Amino acid sequence: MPRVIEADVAIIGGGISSAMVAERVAEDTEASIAVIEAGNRIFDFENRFDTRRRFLDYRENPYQGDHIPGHSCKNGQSRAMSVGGLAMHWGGTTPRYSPEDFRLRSLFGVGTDWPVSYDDLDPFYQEAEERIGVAGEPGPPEYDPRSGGYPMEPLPTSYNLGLAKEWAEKSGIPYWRNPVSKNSRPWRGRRECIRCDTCSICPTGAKYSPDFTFRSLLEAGRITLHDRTMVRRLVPKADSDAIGQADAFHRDDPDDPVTIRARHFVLAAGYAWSSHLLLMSAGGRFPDGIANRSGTVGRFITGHRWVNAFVSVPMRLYPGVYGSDSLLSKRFQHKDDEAQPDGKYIRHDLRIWESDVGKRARLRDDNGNLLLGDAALNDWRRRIETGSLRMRGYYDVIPARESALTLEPNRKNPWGDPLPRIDFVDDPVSAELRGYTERKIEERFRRILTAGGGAMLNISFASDYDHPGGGCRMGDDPDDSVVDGWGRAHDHENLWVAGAPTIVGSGCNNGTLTFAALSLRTASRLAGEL
Amino acid sequence: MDRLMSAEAVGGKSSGKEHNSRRKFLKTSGAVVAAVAAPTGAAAAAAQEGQSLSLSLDLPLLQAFAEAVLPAEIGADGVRDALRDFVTWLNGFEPVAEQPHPYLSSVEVQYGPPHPAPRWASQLQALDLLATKQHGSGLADLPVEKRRDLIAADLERHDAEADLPSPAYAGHVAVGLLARFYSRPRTADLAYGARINARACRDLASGAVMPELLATTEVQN
Repeated sequence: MPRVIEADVAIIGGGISSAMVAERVAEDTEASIAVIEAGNRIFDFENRFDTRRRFLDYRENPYQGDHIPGHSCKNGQSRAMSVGGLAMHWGGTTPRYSPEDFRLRSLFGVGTDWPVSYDDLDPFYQEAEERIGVAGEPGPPEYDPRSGGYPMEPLPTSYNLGLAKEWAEKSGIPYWRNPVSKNSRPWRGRRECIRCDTCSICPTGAKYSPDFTFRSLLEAGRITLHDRTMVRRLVPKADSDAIGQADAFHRDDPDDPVTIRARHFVLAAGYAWSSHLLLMSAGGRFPDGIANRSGTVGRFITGHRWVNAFVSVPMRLYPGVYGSDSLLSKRFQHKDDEAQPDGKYIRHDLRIWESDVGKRARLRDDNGNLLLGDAALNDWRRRIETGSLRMRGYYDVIPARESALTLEPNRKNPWGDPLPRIDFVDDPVSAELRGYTERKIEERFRRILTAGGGAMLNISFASDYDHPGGGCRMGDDPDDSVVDGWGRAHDHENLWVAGAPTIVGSGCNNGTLTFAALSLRTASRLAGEL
Repeated sequence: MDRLMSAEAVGGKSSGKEHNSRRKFLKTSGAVVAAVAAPTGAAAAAAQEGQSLSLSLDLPLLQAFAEAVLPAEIGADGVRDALRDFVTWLNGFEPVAEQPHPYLSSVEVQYGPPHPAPRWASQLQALDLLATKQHGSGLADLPVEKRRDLIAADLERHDAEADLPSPAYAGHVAVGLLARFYSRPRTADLAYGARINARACRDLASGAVMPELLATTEVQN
């Protein structure tokens, strides 16, 4: 007999979007909630000082077994798959998107407007910041508007970053602290940050990760968590378009099917695996996949590219205290003549971190001579008389419809299911402007260097998208989108998609906070129907 | 043997009688390194077949080697401390360990390298033999400058690159030792002349101020 999981709400996926939906629905309703995650449950917080030490000494994966061998998306997707998802590893950087990101067509005549505005999302941004605990300082309101303050005051600016800010602002470009989901004081049962500077493996819990939410919900008896359970197919009811069940299996016993029945299904499996499951569910009345009458499932995969530079600066810095801390400027995300001087569509952020690039000990000097004994130390001392910084700009790229996740019939996972691949394709507007945009950002880097002093050590340009999303984009038009502005599938009244897959564009900033805010907005509407 | 035994206890405070303390250090740490580098797998099989394949790092030899590649300004105590750290690091090394996932990459999960100690041990042994053949005495009995010349020539043969890798990936024992030494927070403090104490967790406020500068004597020691 197949094992059956029954709940009012089944959430497929166990990352940060899932955590937000689960927590909000659990608070607002009495509904039973089942969280289904294909990866392992790695609740090892107690071991993290040790795993951190081994990560530092030996570069070992601090989350051993957080992947599924043979189960991967070609291009554009990290392998991490466990309870907590990629937000176990994340750096905790939590800027919001800009108001302009939601209105590209209206403001710039390019891309697509979202069905929600920044103002619609603002309360959910605030809620997400409260739930995960964000520390930050508001930027200039014309570039970084918000209706409320940050939950926590910013972490003190590191010595190096304080100098970097003075240096960079000689250019006239305003910088402020990038907000982070790291506690500047104890927050929701987690302690304050003690700057261990290994945020991908935070040993103290000062950085938010979804395992805290899931553990809390489990302890309160508000969810059931089914890890190592892989959903292969969503099955519509025979007499309606509503989803009746999800077919799954447990990885320990793949021949024994698991059936998941729920009043509502929430797909919170990220941009790759959400689209993958919908396409995998093709059949019967839905030959192109579930929620795909528009043909846009897996389409409009979005992201931004970066320009990255390491620069030598005329000041002594002491790297190694808090290198993950960064400065942010949204000056060039705004719509005005300085941001778009030629009337072309160009928008990007600017970031600055401390760095030790070009300032590390080495074995050979510039002429290739070996440095042994005192020579290596003396060489190092000479080169650290000046510091180095990392500068980066994420620029908005408008995705083409052909920017897509598709199934590769000949590449299968260990259970015989076709695996996905992603091909990033720019909209013609972005394709034409790519070189111009990269040159413009480089010019702005050089403007900062000219004003503050220093030299470019190297510069590089991304080939693919960073911080991807999309594949189930939201929209008002069911012929051109997968879900509505609340994340509900146009085609299935009890199917919701949460977070990253639903975004229309990736703007110029890290996306996780936006994914969390969108998930909370979805949860608020779902809770109202339970 | 317990691979983690007593690495913390290796070496002692320097005394005026450096010769004695050095011998004591070498004797103790030799046991630890021998434990680390005990032949396993194919090496053990080769040993059983009677081949003269020694995989143990020779501690007196490693000490002589370290004196030639590490900065002289750290002194005998500094060399001992660096070797203790190197031994501890080797003791804790887990061969073929799971590595972090590359960001946004579909590549299958990567695993780290095999234990570097056997390779490094054979390189040390070869250098010692070379010293004997070229100069009539083992590496440890040569003046530091001659040792350094031999090691430099060996590094050139290995095409050692300018950037120091993660220690486990070092193709040559000198690169491994230097990579570990220069990745240590206290070496960075020595270079910067400041108490940065990188990688240490600390209270929020202290990270906001310039690191305390070290007195000249502290830098020298």
